[in-house]
Amino acid sequence: MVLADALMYAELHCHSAYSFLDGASPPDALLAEAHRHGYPALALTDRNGIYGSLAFAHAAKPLGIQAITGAAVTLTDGSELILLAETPQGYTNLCRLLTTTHLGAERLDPRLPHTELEERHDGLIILSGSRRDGLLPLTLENDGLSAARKLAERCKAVFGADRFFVEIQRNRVRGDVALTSALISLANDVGLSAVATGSVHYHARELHRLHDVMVALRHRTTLDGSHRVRNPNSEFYLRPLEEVIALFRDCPDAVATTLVIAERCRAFDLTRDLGYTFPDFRGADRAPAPQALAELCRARLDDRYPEDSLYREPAVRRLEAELVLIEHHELSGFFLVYHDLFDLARDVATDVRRGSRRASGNLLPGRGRGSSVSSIVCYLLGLSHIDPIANKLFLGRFLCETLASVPDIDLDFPREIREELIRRVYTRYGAEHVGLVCSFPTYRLRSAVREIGKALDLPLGEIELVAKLADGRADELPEELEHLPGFAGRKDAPLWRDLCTLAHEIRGLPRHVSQHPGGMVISSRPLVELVPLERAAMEDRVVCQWDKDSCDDARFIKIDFLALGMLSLVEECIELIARHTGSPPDLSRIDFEDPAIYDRICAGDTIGLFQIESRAQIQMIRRSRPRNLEDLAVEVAIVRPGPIVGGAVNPYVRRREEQRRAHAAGRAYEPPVDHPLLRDCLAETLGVILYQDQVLQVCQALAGFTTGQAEALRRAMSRRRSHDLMAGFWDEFRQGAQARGVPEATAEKVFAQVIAFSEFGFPKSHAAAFGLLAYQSAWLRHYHPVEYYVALFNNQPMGFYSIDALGRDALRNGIDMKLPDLNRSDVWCTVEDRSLRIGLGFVRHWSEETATATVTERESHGPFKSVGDFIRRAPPALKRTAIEALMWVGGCDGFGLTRRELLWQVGLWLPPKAQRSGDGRGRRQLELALNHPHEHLRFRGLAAHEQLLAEYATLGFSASGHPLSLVRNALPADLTLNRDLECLKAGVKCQVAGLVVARQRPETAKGTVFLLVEDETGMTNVIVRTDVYDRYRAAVRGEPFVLVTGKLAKDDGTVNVLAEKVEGLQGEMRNVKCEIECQPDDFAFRIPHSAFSFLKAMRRVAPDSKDWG
Amino acid sequence: MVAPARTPLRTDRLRAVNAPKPVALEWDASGVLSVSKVGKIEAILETWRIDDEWWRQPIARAYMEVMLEGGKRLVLFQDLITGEWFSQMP
Repeated sequence: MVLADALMYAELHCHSAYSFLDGASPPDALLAEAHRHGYPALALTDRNGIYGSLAFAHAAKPLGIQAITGAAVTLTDGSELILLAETPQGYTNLCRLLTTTHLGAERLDPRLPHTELEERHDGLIILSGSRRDGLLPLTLENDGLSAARKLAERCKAVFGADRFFVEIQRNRVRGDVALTSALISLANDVGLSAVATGSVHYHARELHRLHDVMVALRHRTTLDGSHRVRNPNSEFYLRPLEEVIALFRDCPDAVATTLVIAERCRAFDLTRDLGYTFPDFRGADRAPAPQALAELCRARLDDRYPEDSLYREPAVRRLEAELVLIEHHELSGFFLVYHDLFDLARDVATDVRRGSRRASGNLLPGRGRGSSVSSIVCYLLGLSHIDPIANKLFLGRFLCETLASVPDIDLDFPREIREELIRRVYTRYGAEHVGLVCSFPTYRLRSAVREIGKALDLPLGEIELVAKLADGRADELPEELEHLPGFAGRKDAPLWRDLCTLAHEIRGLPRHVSQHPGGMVISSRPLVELVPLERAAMEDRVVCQWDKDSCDDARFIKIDFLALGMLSLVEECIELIARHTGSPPDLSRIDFEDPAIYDRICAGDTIGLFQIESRAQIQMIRRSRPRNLEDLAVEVAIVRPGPIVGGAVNPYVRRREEQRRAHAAGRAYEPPVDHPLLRDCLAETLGVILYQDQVLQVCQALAGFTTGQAEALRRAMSRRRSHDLMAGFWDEFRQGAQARGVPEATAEKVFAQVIAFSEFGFPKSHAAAFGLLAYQSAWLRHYHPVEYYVALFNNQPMGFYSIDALGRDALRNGIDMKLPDLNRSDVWCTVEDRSLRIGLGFVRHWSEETATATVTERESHGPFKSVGDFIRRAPPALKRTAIEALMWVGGCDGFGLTRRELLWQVGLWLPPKAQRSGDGRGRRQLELALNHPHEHLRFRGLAAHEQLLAEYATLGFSASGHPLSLVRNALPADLTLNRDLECLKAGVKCQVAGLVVARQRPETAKGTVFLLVEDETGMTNVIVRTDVYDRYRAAVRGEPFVLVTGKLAKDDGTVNVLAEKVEGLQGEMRNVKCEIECQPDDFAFRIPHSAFSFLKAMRRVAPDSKDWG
Repeated sequence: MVAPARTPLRTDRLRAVNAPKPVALEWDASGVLSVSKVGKIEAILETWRIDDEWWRQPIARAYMEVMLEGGKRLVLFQDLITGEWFSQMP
């Protein structure tokens, strides 16, 4: 051993937070600590996966640490082995083995059969595992020395003495010395080498507490209940080298072996040796890709840009330029494969739509979104539906000379088409060649409070209250606790103190593996050889173990097939219109300048529309007043963190008003810009940056950024921690601006706007695509409102509002809603006599299956005639609670009895719960229609408030109106209705009350909370500043009905209430006249006897507000 | 059938088994470590550490099992929070 090596050691067994509740440090922290201690190499061996390995390998490089790729694999008997990739073949085998571990076992309990490892270990170095779970130590402990020797001999025979190592650990656990002695002795006897490892689970000692909590969570118990499974001490951290050397001073060879193994593993570098290739397009054997792509595009050019078109010449120039760029980057095949996939999507759409009227609606199978919409090649191939020439879309955001990663092409599909398309992609390319991209939801304050609180065995009610009332984005729980009613002082109390510390430590760590919304990776080489695959929570879905950033680093081609609820809605709406009118409308040929549509949009009447319905959008729309598609694109883009943080909103609105006045006066309008160099790129958005692509254009125009610099900036924008990455460009920007004679103050001001786009922002192409869909949704709603609302209901959940709020918007727009009816409703909502009939599937306790079976029975054998008839013929799986729920909401009113009488009869027909047999109801009387002596007892009908409560309890929404309409006379007389706010002067004090429909605390609002409070006449926007929020937090965050006292603010066409006080709405204690005397059974709810009681009952059944932030 | 014992149960007399006893460690003139009033330490057989109950009353202890002069074995531990030493039977 070389003298320098005497103080050297490589850690070969290390878990990061990507061991999911078995590692308390992110890979970065482990690397930083290893660098601090002078480690030459570090292996990342997370449990059954390599989730963080590529990011780890990239991060290790600048630190000069050799990253070794590996994993701790769980075998079928529950023991573990450490596998390290020595060679590219070894890595391939590692990926395949990890895939088998996951796909061949229960999703949440991955296991690898020994035989699989024995068949596929070439290129792998295998360590015998940790003290607690390792294969060899466990065998030694459970089965004795002979069995352990036999196992060691077998491992040597199968894997080879140069590939299988006996792992020894010294974590100061009692028995370590005896165990390691026994293992070393065994290794010597059998002719194997021993290797020292640390079994590292965190980078710093004090994180042992967080690790203890994670172990408790993993075993679904408390800290007290997890004593046997937790580590006995805090010695599983990444030690300084001298400590390791001292621990193993009696076996220095075991330490030296770590360096030998690390050196061997240099043969494989994950950042370099992956070997990914994109699949070939169809027809690759007939012509080379650049030629095939050029031919395809030119063939379609005439159709899109005829010879006499104004845009023909620029289109030809643009096409040639793009083809040159694409060929330069060797991406021709990539575009052609996308084209193949879109053709596949067309086939899928045809199959899905077959037999339906929408089949002739000229609907695209899907639509492009994002920066790809700016490409003319995408437009000609059909991947985009927006003309990039006519709309002056900037290509640089999508494609440029110095492109460092593969461009993203995102495609939106209706839900059902997307589901089928994903299945067909698997079929076409093979299950081993396709995988969905994963994502890693991380711990945030609320999840941290809930889970750690349970591990600490804190009272569940209190944990839940803190989780609900605390600001989810707060940095520090201690400060939050101080502000919560009843929790001041808790931050120093036992257990709560620990909760605060641990919540801080766990924030940002990955919680579990989830599926990315739409990303798929396709590879010509089996994908399982490049990255392991595992089952997603959704059935039939398989995800790869890397998220989008790692897939990007690996230069995988990620295809984004996204499901867009609005596209499903449009499809269904078209179908319904066709049923009513005989032919479906062609949405590509409607009038895109219809003033009636824009009048409604500008009035803020946009609830239920695509992208422009949110509270913030409505506020903006009233100020900006869009009148064409380009304005709508601005609308879609401007209410995003990028423009908001960049300070673009107010200037834009002001200048728009100036522009309107100038045009009205017949003058031209020249928008001001921060510097003349920015005029070209910012003129169309009145001198402010609204789109992501403008960020690149600004950097090029003001600071002379090359395409390479712009490309690096573009990549930085889309990464995690983009703010820090983008801030790193300041020096280059400043220098470039200076060289162009731009004053530093101006450069700084403009750069601040550029940095703002590290927050979320849209490329113009994306905004244009979405703006178009927003208009089409508005058009459909305006001209075919009933069909639109039916489709809107049937495609929930989607959008900004609850179905309850959407229903009242329908009522305000003159759409009558009919409650579910056993003999009239379908499974889903339908159009009936120009009204919306709610479907049976919307009733609580009804599933799609039971609703479908009921409708089928009715259609086969005629309408249901009585309670008994219904009970006899209803599907067996339909439970009594479902039948009762339908009756409560009036679904059986057609039988001519009151709802109470109907419920009474159900009780006669069906036994109580305790006596039920195997089927859903356990019929008391079977086939014969026997009369019961008490069948004809009479009961009163439900009062209006009882009906409303029943609707909320069984549907989750009301079809009959707003709850406050029933208690209006019991509320304070000086409350102002929403419709009357317009008539008040700005600055007057006012009080409003209503149901909270939405609560928002946007990151860009610096702590201000926005409430959308709805009464019978409309929705009021309430602004709650931080001081008011702090005083009335419980009411602001938690009350479903609120009473707000404040001042009226009117500005630019918007009307808001600036809250000074927010409290729960109690109502006055005057009785609402009520004639009910009896109390119903425990399924239902207590019948109220006053407005106060009604509101109290409503609080229990009121729909949750949509909370954002 | 066992006849009831005449001696009544005295739960006030329950006591822990093998409760730790405070000890002092000292170095003698020849540099040998010994447990005060118990004996010289001839060999340290094993050392280990435990960390537990940090959410309640933290326990952080560094243990060592020692062989004393004469062959007797003893377990010593240092409370890492107070610094005090204790002994227990192995």
